Amino acid sequence: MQIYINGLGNVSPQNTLDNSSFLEEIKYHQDYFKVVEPNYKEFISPAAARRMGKVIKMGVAAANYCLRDAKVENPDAIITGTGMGCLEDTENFLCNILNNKEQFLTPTSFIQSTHNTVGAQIALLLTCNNYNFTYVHRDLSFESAFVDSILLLKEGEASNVLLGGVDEITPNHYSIHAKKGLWKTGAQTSEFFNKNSDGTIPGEGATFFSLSSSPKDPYATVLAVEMLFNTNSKEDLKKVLDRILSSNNIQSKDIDLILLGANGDKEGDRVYSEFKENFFKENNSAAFKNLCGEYSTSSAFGVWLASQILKKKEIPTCVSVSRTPDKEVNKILLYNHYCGNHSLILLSSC
Amino acid sequence: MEDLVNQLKVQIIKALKLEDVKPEDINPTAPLFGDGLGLDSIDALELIVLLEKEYGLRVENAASAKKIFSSIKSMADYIAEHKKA
Amino acid sequence: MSKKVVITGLGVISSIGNNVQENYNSLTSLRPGIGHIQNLDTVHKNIIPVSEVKLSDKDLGQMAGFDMNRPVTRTTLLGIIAAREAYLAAGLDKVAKLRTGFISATSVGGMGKTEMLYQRYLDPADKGDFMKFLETHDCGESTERIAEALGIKDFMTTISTACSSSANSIMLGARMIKAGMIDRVVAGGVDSLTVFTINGFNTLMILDKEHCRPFDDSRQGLNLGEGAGYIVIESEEAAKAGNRPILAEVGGYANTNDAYHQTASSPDGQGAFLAMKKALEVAGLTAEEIDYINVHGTGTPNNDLSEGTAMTRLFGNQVPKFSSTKSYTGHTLGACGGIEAVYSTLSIMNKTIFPNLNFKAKMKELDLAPETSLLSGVDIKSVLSNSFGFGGNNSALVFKKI
Repeated sequence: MQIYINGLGNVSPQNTLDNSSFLEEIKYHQDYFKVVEPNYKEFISPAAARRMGKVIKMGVAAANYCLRDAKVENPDAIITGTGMGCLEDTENFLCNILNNKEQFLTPTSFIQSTHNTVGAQIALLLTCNNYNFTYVHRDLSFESAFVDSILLLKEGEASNVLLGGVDEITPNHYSIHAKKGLWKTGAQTSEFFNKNSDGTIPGEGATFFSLSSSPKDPYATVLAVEMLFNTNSKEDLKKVLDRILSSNNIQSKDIDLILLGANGDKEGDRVYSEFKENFFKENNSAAFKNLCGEYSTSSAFGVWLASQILKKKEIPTCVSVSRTPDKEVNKILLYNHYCGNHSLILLSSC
Repeated sequence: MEDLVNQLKVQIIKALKLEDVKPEDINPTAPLFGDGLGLDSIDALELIVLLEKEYGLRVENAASAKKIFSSIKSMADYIAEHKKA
Repeated sequence: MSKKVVITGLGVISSIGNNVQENYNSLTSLRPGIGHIQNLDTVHKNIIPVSEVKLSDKDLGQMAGFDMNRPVTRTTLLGIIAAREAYLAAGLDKVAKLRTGFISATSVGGMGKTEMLYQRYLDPADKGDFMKFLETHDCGESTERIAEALGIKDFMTTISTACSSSANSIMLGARMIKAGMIDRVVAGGVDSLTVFTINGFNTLMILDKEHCRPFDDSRQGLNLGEGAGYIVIESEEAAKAGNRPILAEVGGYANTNDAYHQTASSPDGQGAFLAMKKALEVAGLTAEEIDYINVHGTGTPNNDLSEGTAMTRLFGNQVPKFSSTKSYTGHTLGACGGIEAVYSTLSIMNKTIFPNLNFKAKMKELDLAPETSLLSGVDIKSVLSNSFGFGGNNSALVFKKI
């Protein structure tokens, strides 16, 4: 069975919701990447929106755009990945507990702090009674949701699935992790790949895909989604890569673009250069997190970018490739890594 | 009493994030739940905390909450009555 | 796709026992674990009853064999204890070469540590050793630590759908085995009590100040609990080939969404109804073939009425025997589906229905009464286990006798 990406919706730090342009102008941010927020009133009634935190609104808007793009009214399943969940509401409720010594607490931020709120609110607004899962497995949350989506389609339990990755950043999250030295603090996001500083620049986003077993003006087809857990072994990676290549009857030279999750952190980026050096020395490559920042589900942005490149047959200038492609880009392999967890996603043009 | 009613309107708009509602839009005798302002059970819980925080009044059970929160007027009456005591 | 998925190991820790045998003993001696808060620092200490695991983090660390110099949460320790019990019971430690997965679930993950340290995290000047706990906050962390303790690397993930979370991890595990993606899975979930959740549920005014009374007319709400429950599932062929004991079958499963309200269940119990109906279909059973329902039965006015309505819609006036074991363990949130999967399997294995404690009178709206005394010698061929969560997330599992 072939799995198609029939629709996209992406609320990100770039202008990605409007499908008529493709990353023509790049937006820079101070300290960390913040999403370009759409006019939420278009999708959510004021009565429904008044209680929603930012990540929920981002998610609902991206899901809405995606379904519209795929011309799906009510999906057969809603599967969401989020590494950190509804951070803003979680922090609000926690701070209220601590600051007010457990007095005068109201329920709204607690309710919205639940990790499955985004998926639940999408279902509620669509009155969608179908399968609804939320994965929260660190930097493999989106990939877990992706694997489940494909399984559901292959089981024949769904003919289309709404798949998404959502994470938000908050000032508290930024400053707490800055103490751990995770960020290039005080930087402009234009300095993302500045090799002279340690750490990365965090970001956020809500990216949704309409997956289906039947093509409808599709962006791409999904050839493989694989994860590796808690390992730094080259052999483990090779095994999975070989499996991906052989099950699709292709060789490494057939992959036209390697999309890497490099995030500007010296230490972490060595993994990406080794990956390229070891397995795809001759292939063209590019990175994408300079557009969205580092966050648990940023690979969803990468899949969005790959899908657009495959359909539009163009690589926007803000995506710097290692060399100008000499032929059409038909196959893209996305490789992402964080702290021993790896993911490999192979997409093909249709 | 009118001051209390107006004060309540402002507090409710803030607490329930009714961004598109102005105090003068709320009819003090119109129902808060269902048809009127269209509030729900979560809003009721927010209002319970509002009474406790702003007026030092505790609402212990859902049955009495229903009566107190039937309109702005009934809330104001409840506050006026219990603050005196 | 017609592969049978069977259960070959059980593991549980809860307020009523630190392992399967202790839990079984408490269940059959009608001994609930609800009492005053001991392990948490909160203003609600002597007011709100909870269902705690009666061991300190230090004791749990010892029991789990965890190096306590490493950053760790109570969630992880509870999870290691229960998951390892299941893993060893199934003899998985002795079998190499099979692709093994770990699918866990939790609603608040490492919040218990975060709430203690958050003000220090926020203070830019405060930079001590405590900062190492920052990485224990998110939900996936406990999964990684538990998988590491069991030596599982082939597959792992974490599900968080509020109170249906661990039923959903069992559902995913069963589906992956059927699809041939993996040979065996340790599936379930864990949650530890936190000041965060106690206050959260308190703002919703659904915490009973007495022992909870599921399905009783006087019910006022739930008692929060903590614990972990995991089962080992694998394909029947693999279990037979490895001579592992087959305890029961995961016959059916379903997940639906009520799509009614963020926290409240719909008056007609639509999501619950659809989940139970679908789970029966997957199991290939008719409603009459269900012998016992381990209900979600939290004890809140809203849940029990909605769930009861859905049961009446599905079973008509032939509602099977049912009970809520949350009257023993409290509501363990992300762990309850896993813990109740263990209890449902114990019911089948021991031909026993554990009673619904504290029930006196039927609710006015429905003609439904749970089992109130221990029933033994009941030939239970199929159990339905319900788990419903915030965001309208409704799951039902069917366990069958083999």
